[in-house]
Amino acid sequence: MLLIALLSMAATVIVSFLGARVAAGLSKKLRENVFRKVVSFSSTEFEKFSTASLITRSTNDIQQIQMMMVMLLRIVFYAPILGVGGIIKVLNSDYSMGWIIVIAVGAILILVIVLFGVAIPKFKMIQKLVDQLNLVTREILSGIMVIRAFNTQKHEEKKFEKANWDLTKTNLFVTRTMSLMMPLMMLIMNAITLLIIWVGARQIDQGAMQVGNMMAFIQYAMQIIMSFLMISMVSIMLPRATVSAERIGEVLDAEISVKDLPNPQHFFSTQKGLIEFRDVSFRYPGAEEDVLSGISFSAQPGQTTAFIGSTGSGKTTLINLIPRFYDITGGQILINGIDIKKVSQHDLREKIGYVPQKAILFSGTIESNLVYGVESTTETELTKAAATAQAIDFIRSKEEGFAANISQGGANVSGGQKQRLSIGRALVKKPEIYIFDDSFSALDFKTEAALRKALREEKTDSTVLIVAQRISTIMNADQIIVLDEGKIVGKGKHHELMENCEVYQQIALSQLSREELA
Amino acid sequence: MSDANHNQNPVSGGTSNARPSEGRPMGRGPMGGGPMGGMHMGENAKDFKGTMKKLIDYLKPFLFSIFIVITLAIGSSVFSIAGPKILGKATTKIFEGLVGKVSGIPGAGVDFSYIENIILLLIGLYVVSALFSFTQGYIISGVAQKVSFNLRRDISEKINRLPLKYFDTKTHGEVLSRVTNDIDTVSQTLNQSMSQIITSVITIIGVLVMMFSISWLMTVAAILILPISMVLTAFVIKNSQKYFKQQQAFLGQVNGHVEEIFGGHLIMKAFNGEKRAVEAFDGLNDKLYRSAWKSQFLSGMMMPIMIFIGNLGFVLVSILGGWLAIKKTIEVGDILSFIQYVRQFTQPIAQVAQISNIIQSTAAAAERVFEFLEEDEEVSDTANPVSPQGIIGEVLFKNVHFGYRQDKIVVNNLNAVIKKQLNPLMPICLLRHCLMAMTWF
Ligand SMILES: Nc1ncnc2c1ncn2[C@@H]1O[C@H](COP(=O)(O)OP(=O)(O)OP(=O)(O)O)[C@@H](O)[C@H]1O
Ligand SMILES: [Mg+2]
Repeated sequence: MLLIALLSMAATVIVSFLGARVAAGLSKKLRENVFRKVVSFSSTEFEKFSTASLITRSTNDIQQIQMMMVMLLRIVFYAPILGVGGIIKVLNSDYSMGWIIVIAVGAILILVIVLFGVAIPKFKMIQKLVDQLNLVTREILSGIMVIRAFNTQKHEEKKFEKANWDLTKTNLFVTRTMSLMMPLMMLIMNAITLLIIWVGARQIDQGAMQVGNMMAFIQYAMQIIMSFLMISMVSIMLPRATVSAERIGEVLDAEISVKDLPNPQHFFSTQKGLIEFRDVSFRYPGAEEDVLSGISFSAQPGQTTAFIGSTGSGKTTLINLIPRFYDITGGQILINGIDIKKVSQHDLREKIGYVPQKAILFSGTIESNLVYGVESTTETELTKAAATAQAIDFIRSKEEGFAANISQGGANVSGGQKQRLSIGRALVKKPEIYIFDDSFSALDFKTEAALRKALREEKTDSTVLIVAQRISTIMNADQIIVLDEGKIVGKGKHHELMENCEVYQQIALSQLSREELA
Repeated sequence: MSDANHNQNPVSGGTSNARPSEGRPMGRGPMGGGPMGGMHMGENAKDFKGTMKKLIDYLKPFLFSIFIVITLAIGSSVFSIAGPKILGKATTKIFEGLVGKVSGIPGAGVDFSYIENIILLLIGLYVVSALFSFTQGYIISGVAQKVSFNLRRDISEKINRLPLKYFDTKTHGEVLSRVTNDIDTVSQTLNQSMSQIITSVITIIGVLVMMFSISWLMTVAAILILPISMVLTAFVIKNSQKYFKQQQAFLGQVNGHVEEIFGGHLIMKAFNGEKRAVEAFDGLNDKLYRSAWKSQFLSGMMMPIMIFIGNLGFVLVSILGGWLAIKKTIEVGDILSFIQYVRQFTQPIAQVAQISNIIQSTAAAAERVFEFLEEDEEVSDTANPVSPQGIIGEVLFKNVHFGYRQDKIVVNNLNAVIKKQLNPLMPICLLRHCLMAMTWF
């Protein structure tokens, strides 16, 4: 008997070991696949799912599945062994008390189903109410200055009190319903034991059963009831995990819109960074009409091409087509004479130093952010890039210098500092093509002028594309392209546009006086 | 800067200290746990005693309810403990009847009316016990929920009294996490620990008494198993806690990395950072996997170990019981009762082993809540405020110093007078200006 007990423990330990390995391994693999997939997504897919939802899917949803899997493996292996073993024993002993077990299992199942039937809708509600409480608290926190200024504390507290009470009420209902579960379960088990003794006593009296067998029967019955209990609990929790599984499946099955050709071409090194747009049009996925149409121009190496236009005119959209964040819907974009769809995304992006409209930094150090685009660099080059980006002063002012910490999302540096580091990151890469999307907006005029001057001196043979709001930023560009509602309405140098482009004149006059513009 | 530094992977370099602002186990966003979520075990409160005192203060209004709960818990435990002993009597009667029949005593047989009575008595006992235990759960969850309600309300009122300075160093997520996660943990664990401590302790004592009343020899044998069981469970719990903590920490890092890369995917793509991101992710994911399976395995060991110990006890008791029954020291039914007691015995021991953990996590969560509630408050309005009447709407900035934190002054010695103007909208403009300026600074 001891041996059997030991063996059975060893078996369950092995099951638990394998179960843990399998569950953790599966979720590791799942996490890995989802991450790889999402990393290969283009902006289109990111917008389709929304970044926030992708984050939840790769974290919470996978965690849900992992937890479910642990439970499932542990119980799915264990419960049937327990249950089937018990049933076989009972059937073998054949004392026609099987019906008691049927009653027991039925009673337990009914209990579980009824309780969860009542509780599960409320569980979902709790989730919503917690969200609601979060929302109210968030509102109070983010509006704290206004609340203080207008003395509306009492009003906010009332709003909170209501959300708080709603949550408490529902929580109360659920916990109270659930506190029925254990006592009722114990009652059922005890009642079954009594029933077995009652029926068994008669059989024993008739000589159809022995006392020892009756005792054994009680044990088996308990075992079977337990296994059914476990199975029913799991099956009730299963739907929650399936929702998560579906959401993850959607990510894994998503079609990626920007893809490499099977045999991509390679750039020749004869020409450096010549960009040509040929009658390019573009429409955002799901949009009604084109945001860009009939865009044709070329940007020469060693020259600066600037884009200007009112907000929403499509500047960001246009330059985002060059690194293939989106694929164009009509026309052609060529770099060094090759259609950008025909080279690999990797090769294409190697050529580009991109500075986004909204600076993004990663957690790490100032240095790790600056060298993000390159394999290695030297200290002198790093310092030079930081100097050109007008970031060196504030880096030097930090105690740790280049090793200074950057927290997630760059929350611990100012907007302007973030932008300078973001520019520095592109400079360290030494690309053939620079894309500055409104990247000087958080800098003051003096810094901006110094930065432009430094850039001009540095980057003599690169192609520079600048999107700007300020006329002063681009006045000296070799070519200015004026966008209006997704179309090019002017192209040329500053003085040419001042003469023949009405949109440009309007923008210019709204910012500078006639004398300054001359 | 050394050369090695240049090759350092910026992503992994960063994620190893992701979210430095949070000094506690990560991966607990504002909605991490949820009502059904697991407890955050293994965190220790810095000032356990003080926190518990404060928590007890919150429980004071419910003293009467708690008293009732204790009474009910005692009642319910006593009844359920008495069950097996009485049941044993029935079994003995059956056995005696049988023996009598076999030995040919005329008219002998199982005494059904006696058994019937016992069974009816037991049904009554079990029903009352279930009722007690339900009422106890009902009251306790009421207390726990109301305590959390009060805690939440106090937090919301506290938010409005804290100086704005406080919110510069804390993220919204941290405050939110106290309102939801921490208070949830407090209420859940309060619920558990209150009813479990009482029931477990009473059960252990009661069962011991009953066991002794049946046979001291068998009881001693059963108790001998106790140390083994204690050592084993303590070992398992300690180790699984270690890996559980690790798992939570790595989970936080994986989630932080995911958030960062997905949020900055444009840069990741523009700078061909895919490979690097995936490599860093794989490293973290692997660490997570290692701690996750160990943590799950160890926590899964609990059940087989408890069952094994139960079986061990079962075997011992059966052998001893059989021998004693032959010697007529005990009755046959007593063996059944005793086996049931041994079964009842192991469960509360495992619970007691975990209760200290539960209380620890209650204290840890409660401490964070109280820390928040005890933050220095804004020096409220001056003792004798100047009446706003007769103020002609002139604002004077006199040697104003303003900084987000004491050690970092942003505005220094600002002197300015803002004169009253005839424009009636002026005060509002000013107000908006002030607000804007504050966010600027
Ligand atoms: N991801 C998107 N999905 C759908 N429509 C978009 C998306 N991004 C931009 N648009 C739309 O495309 C148009 C051009 O936007 P774009 O961002 O290119 O403007 P912009 O010239 O860069 O403006 P700003 O100067 O404000 O940066 C706008 O009407 C905008 O609503
Ligand atoms: Mg833009």
